[in-house]
Amino acid sequence: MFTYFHDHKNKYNKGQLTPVYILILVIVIIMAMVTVNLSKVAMMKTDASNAADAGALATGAIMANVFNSVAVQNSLMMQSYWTAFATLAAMFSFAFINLTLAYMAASDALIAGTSAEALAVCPTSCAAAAAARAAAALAISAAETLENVSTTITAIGLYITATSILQHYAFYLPIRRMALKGRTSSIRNGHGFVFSNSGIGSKLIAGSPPDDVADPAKKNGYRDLYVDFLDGIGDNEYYQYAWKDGRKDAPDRSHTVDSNVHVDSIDEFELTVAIAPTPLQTVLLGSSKLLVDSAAVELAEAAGVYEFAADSLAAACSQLACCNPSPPGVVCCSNCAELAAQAQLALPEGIAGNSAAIFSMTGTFVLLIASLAGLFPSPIPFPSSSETDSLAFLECWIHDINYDNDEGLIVRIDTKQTHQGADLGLWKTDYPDTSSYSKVNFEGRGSIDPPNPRYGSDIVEVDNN
Amino acid sequence: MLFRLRVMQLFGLILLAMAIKAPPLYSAWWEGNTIPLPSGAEEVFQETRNISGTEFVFKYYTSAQGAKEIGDFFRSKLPALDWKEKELLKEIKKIPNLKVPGPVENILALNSIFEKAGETIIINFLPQGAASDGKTRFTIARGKKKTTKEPGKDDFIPRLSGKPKLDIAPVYPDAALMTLSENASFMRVTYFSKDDMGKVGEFYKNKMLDYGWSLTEEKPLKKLDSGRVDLSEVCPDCPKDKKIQQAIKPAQMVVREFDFSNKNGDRCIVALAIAGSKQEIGDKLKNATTIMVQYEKAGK
Repeated sequence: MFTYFHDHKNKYNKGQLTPVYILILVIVIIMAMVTVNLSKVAMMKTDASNAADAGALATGAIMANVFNSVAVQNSLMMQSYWTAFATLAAMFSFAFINLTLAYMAASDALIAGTSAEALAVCPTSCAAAAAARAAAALAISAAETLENVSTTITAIGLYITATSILQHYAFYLPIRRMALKGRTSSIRNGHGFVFSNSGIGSKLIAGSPPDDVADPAKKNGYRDLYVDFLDGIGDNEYYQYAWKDGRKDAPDRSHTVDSNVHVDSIDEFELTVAIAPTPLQTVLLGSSKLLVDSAAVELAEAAGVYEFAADSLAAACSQLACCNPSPPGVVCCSNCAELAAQAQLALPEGIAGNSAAIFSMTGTFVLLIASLAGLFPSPIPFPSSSETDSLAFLECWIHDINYDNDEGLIVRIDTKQTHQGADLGLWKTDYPDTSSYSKVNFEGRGSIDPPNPRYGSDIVEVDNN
Repeated sequence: MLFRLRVMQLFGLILLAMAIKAPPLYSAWWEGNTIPLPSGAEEVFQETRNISGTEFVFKYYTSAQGAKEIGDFFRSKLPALDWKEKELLKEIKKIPNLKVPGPVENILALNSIFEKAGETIIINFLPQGAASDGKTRFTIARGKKKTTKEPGKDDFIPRLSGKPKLDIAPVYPDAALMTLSENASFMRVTYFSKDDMGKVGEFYKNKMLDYGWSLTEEKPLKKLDSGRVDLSEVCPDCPKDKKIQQAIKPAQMVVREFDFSNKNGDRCIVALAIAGSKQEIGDKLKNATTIMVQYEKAGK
């Protein structure tokens, strides 16, 4: 055709532009193919961006829910501590009231006992007897009151142990487990959203899977393999889905979609714990009970001595009449002096026991005050990174969850798509790797302490390239 | 007819007064029976609990007002209603050689106890700074002794009135209910039993099966030691005395944990604890076991 045109080129003017047209046509075709290629690359980029955004939002939303649940449960944990504190404060009040009453009675007994000792001579034996009798009654009353204090201290100890176990097993552990499980779930869902929004479904060709798939149930297409892959996603940070093209003209063309979901670890909880660990509370309360019990015994013994002295002094008092006026050497009068002397000998023992009891009670006050102070929430949070490291403490509530990210509560998703081109004979397509990322902040207006379940997720940064 | 109208008008006025919270109009009805509350105080919850042989109704409140203002309010209002204050801190301060540490003094100064005709009111505050929302949390516990009989030892257990509504786990025989919170999907409850830990543990291991639970894990016994205790570290202001220091013996807390699950995937943890001196625990596993049962419905 070209030779004909060449031979007759001077004869015909027609068709001179045909080669140009052909050239233009080729250029147009090339441009169209480039456009198609570019649009495919653009679509891949869009898929990657959608995947990153959807994954980040899903992960962020779940993490916001996790933190909201922690905040709600934390308010219940706080309320539980408050209940315990109020009950214990009331019990301590009773212990202090009774201890104060016992202390006053024991102090009055000491005063009465001391005055009985001072008066324990024949001429003042009547007054001394009354004083010793009063001392005995007061000491007995103090000892009885101390029994109530002792039982109250035991009850306080039991209640602190119960609170400690309750806060740990019924609040902290379930909250911790729920949070960790929630994070795992957010990562799993994040990957799921990344893969589901990567356009993999539309890129998969229905039909028989590669020959190396042994399971007959899986022989009905690539989509089943993909669904299996999605079901098998766990809580790893990184997953890749790779598949070969199912097209007959390009059976070895490979494709991969990578998903990287990063959620900071939330293994370390900061707990507000009571100042004194529970075993220490047991020490303080157990020791204060020992002191109270020993004070009660000392007072009961002192009361016995006072009673004995009072009896002797009363006998002396009954013989006092024959000493007035007292002719020296009269028998009854010497008996009076003897009985008074007997009381005088005994009374120091009662006074010593009484004093020792008062001292023990002061010690009890000290230990009980220390125990009450030990129930206050410590201003220094306790970092707990396992299920058991805080068990020895009375956990008041969760102060915070340690989150490594300097930017705050951030979820970051990175995704990449790699698609091998196809050899179309004249044209060989080639696609560059496309990637995208998205960051979501899930802090919202929420807080753990004070508990405020208003965490919400927002995209804060996306890939603009 | 006119009388009936007047009565209805009066009734309407009272209802209106109650609606707009105007106490002077209706408070006379139960004045003396109710405890006046500072403005803005909101009741959060309440429970009935035995304290030292007296049944107390604990009401928990929050308020934007400061603790001192609230404390002053009660100290000014309650005496006018014939309540007499027991000045505990003043009495404690009379004790020679006893220095009350600052934070405890603050709490004792705020806490107040009032008495009237055999009734007791205890008002206490959660330590300042404990709640970071800036609100003051306070409790009014009111109780009246029902008998003149001296309380027995068991009466001192801070027993809670009532029992769990959910029948999902056995209750150890004669165990005293100490704490309870529950709804349809969870239950958190603690009991106290005078039996030893081994016996209580066996009971739950066996009886939980009757409730459809199976034991998934029995955790190893945990022993938590107090170690040597130096009183000056716990209470720097306390007097340094040899006798008191000698009374301080190391203690231990022993904890057992059983995890149960059922066919619905629900979970139930039973934890048992005892605390006491090492000697007591070593001798006979101390007959004072705390039982905690925590139930959680699957998916909650």
